[in-house]
Amino acid sequence: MDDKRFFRATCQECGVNEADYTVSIMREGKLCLCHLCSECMEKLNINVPTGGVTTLLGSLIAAIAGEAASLMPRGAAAGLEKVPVCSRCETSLSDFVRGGFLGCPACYNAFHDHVEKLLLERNGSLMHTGRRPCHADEARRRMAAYDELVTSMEWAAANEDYETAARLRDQIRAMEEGDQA
Amino acid sequence: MRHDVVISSRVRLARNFEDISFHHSGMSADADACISRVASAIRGKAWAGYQLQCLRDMSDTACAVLCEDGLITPELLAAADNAAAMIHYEDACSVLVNGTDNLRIQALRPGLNLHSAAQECFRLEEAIARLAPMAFDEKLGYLTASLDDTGTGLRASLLLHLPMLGKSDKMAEVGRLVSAQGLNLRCAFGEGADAPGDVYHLSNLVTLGRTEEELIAAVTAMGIQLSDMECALRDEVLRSDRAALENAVNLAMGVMLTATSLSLQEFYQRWSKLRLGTALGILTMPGVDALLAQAQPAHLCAYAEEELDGKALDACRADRMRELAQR
Repeated sequence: MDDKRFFRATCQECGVNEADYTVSIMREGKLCLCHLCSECMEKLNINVPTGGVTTLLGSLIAAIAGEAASLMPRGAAAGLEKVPVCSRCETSLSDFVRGGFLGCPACYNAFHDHVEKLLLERNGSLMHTGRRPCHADEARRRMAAYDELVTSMEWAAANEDYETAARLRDQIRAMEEGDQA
Repeated sequence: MRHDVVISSRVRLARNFEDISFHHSGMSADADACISRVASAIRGKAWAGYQLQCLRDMSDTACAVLCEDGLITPELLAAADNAAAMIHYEDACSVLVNGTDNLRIQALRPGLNLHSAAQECFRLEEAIARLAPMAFDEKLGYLTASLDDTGTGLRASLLLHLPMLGKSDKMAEVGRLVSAQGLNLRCAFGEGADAPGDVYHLSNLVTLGRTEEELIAAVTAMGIQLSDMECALRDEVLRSDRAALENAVNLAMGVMLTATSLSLQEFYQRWSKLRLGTALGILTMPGVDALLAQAQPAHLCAYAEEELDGKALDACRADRMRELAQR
């Protein structure tokens, strides 16, 4: 008998045993195959599938993510929906759950619900009350000044003071052009 | 006296630039950009006395010495290929570049002095904020790689010597007191029930929802409370069995002056007795705190100017401690 016809992959978890199962998982937004032996399936707490890919994939993601599996969005276990991935640095939610670190500032938006849940559990609050960087204060001042100009322009127009309204409109345009530059 | 219990104070701020990924994501272009940006700033007046060290240009021993001195962290050491540190050796302040976050600003002070450490950190933070916008959210505060730092990004910590309190039956109560304030108390060196050197690390856990001043005040207040508890137990022992305490201190000094081999574990035990003895006036040893760093492996290798381990390291430690104890 030609051994090649019966070639089996090595388990990708232990790297020692021959793989008995092949499962589909989502990794970094892509569907890929993962070969596992029976021992590693048991170690990862994955039951021999009696259902379809849905059950097995959900178990595998839960096993990899550990206790944080509850943070996985519903439907991710189906393997048919993407695990959230940050569009800026390509860190996935499972990367964050596994490693404990976010990849960039944009990850806070990408994983918004999960991040806020964890922050609230840890700190009992979601409102920063401490120091702010200088640029944040300046941005707030500019926003406040802009809003005031818009309000004043609308009031002047409503009171038929068109000369004042035009002057304010020009100031607003100058601020907008300055921001775009 | 509280300063006899509080060995040192440290304040650390975690900061990231808005346009650079958190370093651990492995984008080396961003890592280089971060170092370049910081390097360009070091000529400014705010950075007088600071030196920029790229870890990849330093020997392993030199990096490990900085780590043992608390000027860099093990996490930065692990990322040495892309990491750097701006260090003010005299003031024991440093800015770590491309560790867990783009920047970690930290200042150390002897004794109980979180306020002074914080002021230096805030001064450096303002200088850095002029380089480029920081990663900051109106609601969540400063954005960091770990959610453990999100918000203020501030970790205020005290190193405490608690030889009496640590071995008393009050530690369960201490644990409850500490947790109730959103703080954390753990062994400073290693894990396990017995804190090596009876040294503990007290720090804030909460970083969001409180101001920096509130966090520093909470750690300071708890440090004072623990110091008072420790001092009360010391007074009790002095009243009840001063002779036994003096004997233990003198034995420890005897070992330091005569041992030809000293493991790190045994050093910690003897050092704790010497520090307690100094605090209680049983002996005079003004440089006792400095022994903690000098007994560490990298410091000994630097002292011996060669790589040491095992018995050779223990022998070197004994020689070094004999030399320092006699001063």
